[in-house]
Amino acid sequence: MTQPYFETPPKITVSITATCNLQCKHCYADCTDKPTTSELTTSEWLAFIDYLVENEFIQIYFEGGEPLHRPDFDTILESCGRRMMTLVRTHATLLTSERAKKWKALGVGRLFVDLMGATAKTHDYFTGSDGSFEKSCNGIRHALAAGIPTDAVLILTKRNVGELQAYLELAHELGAQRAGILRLYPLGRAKHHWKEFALSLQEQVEALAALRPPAGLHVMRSWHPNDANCCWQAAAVDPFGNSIGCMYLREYVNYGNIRSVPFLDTWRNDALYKKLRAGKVEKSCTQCDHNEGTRGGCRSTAYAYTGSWNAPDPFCSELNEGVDIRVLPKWLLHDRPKP
Amino acid sequence: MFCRNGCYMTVPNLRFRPIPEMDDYVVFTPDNPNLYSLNQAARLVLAFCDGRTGTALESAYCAALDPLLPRREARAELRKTIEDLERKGILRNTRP
Repeated sequence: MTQPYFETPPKITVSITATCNLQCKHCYADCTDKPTTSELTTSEWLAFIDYLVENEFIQIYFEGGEPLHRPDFDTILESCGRRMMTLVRTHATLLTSERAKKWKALGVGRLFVDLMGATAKTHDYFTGSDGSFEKSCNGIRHALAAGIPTDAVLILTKRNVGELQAYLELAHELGAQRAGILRLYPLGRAKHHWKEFALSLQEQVEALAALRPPAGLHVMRSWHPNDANCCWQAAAVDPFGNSIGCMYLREYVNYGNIRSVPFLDTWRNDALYKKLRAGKVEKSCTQCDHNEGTRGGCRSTAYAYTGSWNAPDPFCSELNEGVDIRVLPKWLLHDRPKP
Repeated sequence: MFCRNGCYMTVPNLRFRPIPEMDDYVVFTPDNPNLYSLNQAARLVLAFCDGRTGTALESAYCAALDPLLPRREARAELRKTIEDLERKGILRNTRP
């Protein structure tokens, strides 16, 4: 059995920039303050958004880098807010009350705001910027006050696992309807802090099991029995125009650049892209398959730990097979990792 | 709420995306940004919402489902679907 094959995917993720005003230790994109190489220009992004609309895309999810750090981001939002469901992931330190109101008017449908802990001490340690926690919390308040549904998201690490329950309570107090707890991926600067940040799978599972979410707060998490292989519907473009399927595959694949190849040609013609979407894997967890309608768990972490696209995802407790996820394969620390 | 004298039309500026691979049909509502998956009943109702009255809509809907669904059940389904679509900002009665 294979996954459904879309002629055109309905949704796409766009990493709009690899720049950021913070220098987070866990950053997956190795962000810098200024662009290191040529990012797509405003007119290139606007043309791409027109292309997406013409090809019946109905949802766009922006992340970075920090989208707000890109000076033309509101212009880009304006081009898609009324034409596609528009979601933005941000740390929100630059989101003022006025900007939030403007985003609401531009049609932004939902925000996902990163909080790396329940306290300023923990969060600011990750971001390397004193005061960033307070600014992110204020960003959430501004977005909610402007009427934009807003979720908090946290990447689970050794440094914030002790305040996971407090994080849920904080998200609830801030007014979020949902709080996401995300796994740590060995990408960007995060992989160079792996020993400091990575928990064993058992520690992660126990921390999640101990949570008691406040009434009314929905908790999103992707561990067993909800370890999804999302590749079958995944479309993503990085700041430089590379079609990469999923932002978690950013260091491993490149299906073509939209400056020279129409995006849908990469979707339809690239052999690896088609292979990953087919969902043919060596082994699957039946519970995750049942709940997520997908096969084998996340391909990014399966590949990171085994070098094989068909291997089981070790972040699923049913498929782990003795892999200690606190220990990374050495090849993963290369600039462009290949096994 | 269903109104026999109402004139039913879809809200302007909606975007629809058929997803035949999953037997799904998704609509984007820009005024209150959201995505909704439309079931078969909703798709059928929207196909008839060209400004016709509630009475005409009811006749068309019941006729389309005859003999699969008894008329009374079809009417109840229609009303429930219209209320749901109005609440989601997909359908409007232009003569309230």
